[in-house]
Amino acid sequence: MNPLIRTEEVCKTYHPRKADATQAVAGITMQVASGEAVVLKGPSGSGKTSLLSLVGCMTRPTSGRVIVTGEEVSRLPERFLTLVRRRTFGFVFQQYHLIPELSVRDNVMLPLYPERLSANEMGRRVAAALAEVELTGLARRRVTELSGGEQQRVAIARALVNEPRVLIADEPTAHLDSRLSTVLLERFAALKQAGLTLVIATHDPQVYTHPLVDRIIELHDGRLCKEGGA
Amino acid sequence: MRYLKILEYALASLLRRPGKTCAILVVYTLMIVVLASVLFLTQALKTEATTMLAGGPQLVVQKTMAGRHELIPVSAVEKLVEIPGVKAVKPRVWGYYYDALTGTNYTLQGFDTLANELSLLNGRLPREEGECAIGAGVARSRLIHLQDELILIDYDNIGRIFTVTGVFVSAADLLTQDLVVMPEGPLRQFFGMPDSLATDLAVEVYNPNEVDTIANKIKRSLPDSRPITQSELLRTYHAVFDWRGGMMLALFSSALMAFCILAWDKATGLSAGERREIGILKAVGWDTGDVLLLKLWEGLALSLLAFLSGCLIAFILVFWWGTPVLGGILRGWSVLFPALRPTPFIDFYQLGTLAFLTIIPYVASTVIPAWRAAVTDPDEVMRAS
Amino acid sequence: MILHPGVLALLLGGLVSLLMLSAGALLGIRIARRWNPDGAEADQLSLERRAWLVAVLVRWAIVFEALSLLLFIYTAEVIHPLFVGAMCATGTLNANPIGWHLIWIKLLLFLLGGLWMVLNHLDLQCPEAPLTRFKFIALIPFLPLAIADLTLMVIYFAGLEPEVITSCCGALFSSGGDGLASELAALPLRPMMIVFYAGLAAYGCLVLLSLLSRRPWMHYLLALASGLFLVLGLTAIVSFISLYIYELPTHHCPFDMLQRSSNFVGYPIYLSLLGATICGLVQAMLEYLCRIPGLSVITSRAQRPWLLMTLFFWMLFALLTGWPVLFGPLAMTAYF
Repeated sequence: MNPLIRTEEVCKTYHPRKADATQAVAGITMQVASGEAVVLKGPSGSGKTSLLSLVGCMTRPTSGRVIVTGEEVSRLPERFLTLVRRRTFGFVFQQYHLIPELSVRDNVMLPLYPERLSANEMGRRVAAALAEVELTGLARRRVTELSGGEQQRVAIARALVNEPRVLIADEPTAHLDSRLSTVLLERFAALKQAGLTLVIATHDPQVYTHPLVDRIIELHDGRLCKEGGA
Repeated sequence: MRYLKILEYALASLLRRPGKTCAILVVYTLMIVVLASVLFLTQALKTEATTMLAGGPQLVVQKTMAGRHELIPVSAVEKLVEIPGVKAVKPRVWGYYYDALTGTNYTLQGFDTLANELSLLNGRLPREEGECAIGAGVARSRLIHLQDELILIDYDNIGRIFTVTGVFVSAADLLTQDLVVMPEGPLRQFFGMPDSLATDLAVEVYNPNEVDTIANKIKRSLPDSRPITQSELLRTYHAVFDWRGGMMLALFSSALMAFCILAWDKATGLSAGERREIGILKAVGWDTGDVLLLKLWEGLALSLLAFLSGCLIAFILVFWWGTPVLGGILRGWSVLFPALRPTPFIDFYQLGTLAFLTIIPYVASTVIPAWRAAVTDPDEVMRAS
Repeated sequence: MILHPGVLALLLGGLVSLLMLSAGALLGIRIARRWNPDGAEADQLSLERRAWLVAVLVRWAIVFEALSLLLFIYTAEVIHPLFVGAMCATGTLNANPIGWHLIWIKLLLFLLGGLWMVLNHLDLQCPEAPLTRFKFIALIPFLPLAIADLTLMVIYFAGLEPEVITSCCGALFSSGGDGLASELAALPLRPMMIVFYAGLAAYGCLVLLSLLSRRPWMHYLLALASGLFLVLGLTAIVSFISLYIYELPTHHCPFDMLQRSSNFVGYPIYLSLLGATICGLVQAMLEYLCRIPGLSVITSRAQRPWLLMTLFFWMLFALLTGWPVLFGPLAMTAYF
């Protein structure tokens, strides 16, 4: 079976020419199959977030290859990388990164602006994404008026609005109590059921021990140190 | 669709930052107001000059001696009437008068040579010695009205008293502002000008298209004369006003520079919030080109708004308030003119020039800052915790 | 020297676009030198981002140049009363014949700039970006053109001496008009009309044939014909189309038709002529770029829309130039 995402000896060095050059990812080979839920586990600074960036086409590797849906993206110009990212991935950031002055609806709509969609189609997709996270009633509210959990649901709706194949989440439970974490994981499980592939970076045991997780990849200092089933 | 959507987003994002938007908008508008006032006023003055000359003679013949203007013998009239194509020749008597009291210059004109266009008179034209009609500017500076007395000092340093029988309220302000009109005889006495001489000769021709040819013939038959056609006068006026307007613009170019620096600064100094916002946009799938488009729309919206409001304010300033300071500089020496109310007009060429002068520097100075913002790393938001 | 506001605006615009173009071209050359898709990722990324800056700079410079062409013609029109004997923009241009060269240069900059933007667009369509090096090297010819543009503009306006009455004697001077315009205007009417309409018809046929056939030489021929078409069109406008538009048998000015008095009909006329020329030239470019691997799909997909646009502009131009001649009130039969 062809994996959805594959990395081959992928490395990422930030500020390569400067004194503070840091190798965040040092030669990782891994793959994610379609419909799978994979957890990247490791202490902070182990390169989880950087690997997520590479896998999710946020950035290009310094060396090595990243292959998404059978196409090598590691050498694509930024413009096309953005296109692949927008069409294939949805991101839920650790800090949510919503624009505080905008309403829930407008925040969710952000990824749709660069696409050539009609206003109707945009409205339809936003409504669908909001329904998915049960926020339809709050669509006109400003995101600053919402609670932390609700804000995260807005972030998830924004990640889903482009109808992606892969949902990437970075420390999704970092700002949630255990009750809300459970709710979130249930939501992820439902999304997985619906066919979405999940890649989650976390060091929260509640996440990587959850039954929805198929595989755990453990990272340490930018290297892969253990890989196995949940 | 994508363009419109991003335009919509750009407008919303401008409104979300009212402080910054207003700051740049105010300065931008101010700059446009200043430049637009100069342009509008220059154009208004040119139009005024054109109207003013339209009533004058088609061709004026002066005499020159040693390269300077001299009084012309009235006997030259006979010579000129013989030239084919010349309809009529009239000697004109007029001159300048420096009024030490108010420190202004008046134009004294013989009544017989006045064009008929000057009918917008409050009162009546002078009929006999000791009477005169004056322009609104003269009336204002001397604080006199109808039936008051105007005292002028003649060539022999003797004060003469004239009764004001009429005040000109013409629309073509420039023409009559500084005018004092009296019958030709008394004026000759006032100036001490002999009857055999005149200031110049006004020539009327049958075919206006032939004016240059006739000027040529006059020059040949009276070698010491200088024929001046109306179109030439017009050209000179235009050149003078354009030159003054251009000087003003050149002076204001330093203001333009300051504005560019401000625009650069405002656009470069992205606030933390803006930086974050662009980071988020890049992270959720906006391309560099999309952010550039966003910045383009923002800049164009600001420019358009500033341009329209600036032009509107300048329009009101020039055509309703008469631009007290600027007007004086542009019009020149005389203190008599400031109360000018030009006829409103809209000229697309002027607006185009203005847009060129203001929008281009703004756009140019925001290109690089906009690009800097647009190339924000998309994974910056992922790394920021 | 004339210190007219329009002149100042033109000089400012020329200076700004020169600065932007030279910044863009210099940056472009550096990118072209270092461009290496297999090189270090970080370097390549910064080059890619600078490429955006170059594209934006050049785009604005071209827009400014195009607007400046318009403003230049308008300014020439507006300041004509300053020159003895000048009746319209032609007179102002004749007052210092460098003005004519300025128009050609600005026109050339506009045409080349349009082609460059198409090139840039094509390059951005393709993930391999095979044209990057080429497109940035192609910026080099813009530099001398932009420099020439600004320099000539300064020389032109500095050399314009309005004859002020106070310094010379009377209306006895007039600028002798023996520039290019008068030569064009002097072309015999009847042969000129025949040549023009034959050329117009031939060009239209060629566009239609190119739409039907996919032979490469056809597209090269079309591009060549587009260049000729531009020259022919401009000649015809000066020679006789202007007469029919103004309904005057002697008025040859190619600029007056941009004025309100002719209902701004000049804008669609020149726009359609330039549009047809650019779209036709793009054909040759597309045909040539077809050979580059990775681009052939994009270019062959782009060919048809560009051809249709050529056809559209051609029809517009034919309509606009045919209408006044066929149905206008002016009858020139006596002049044949």
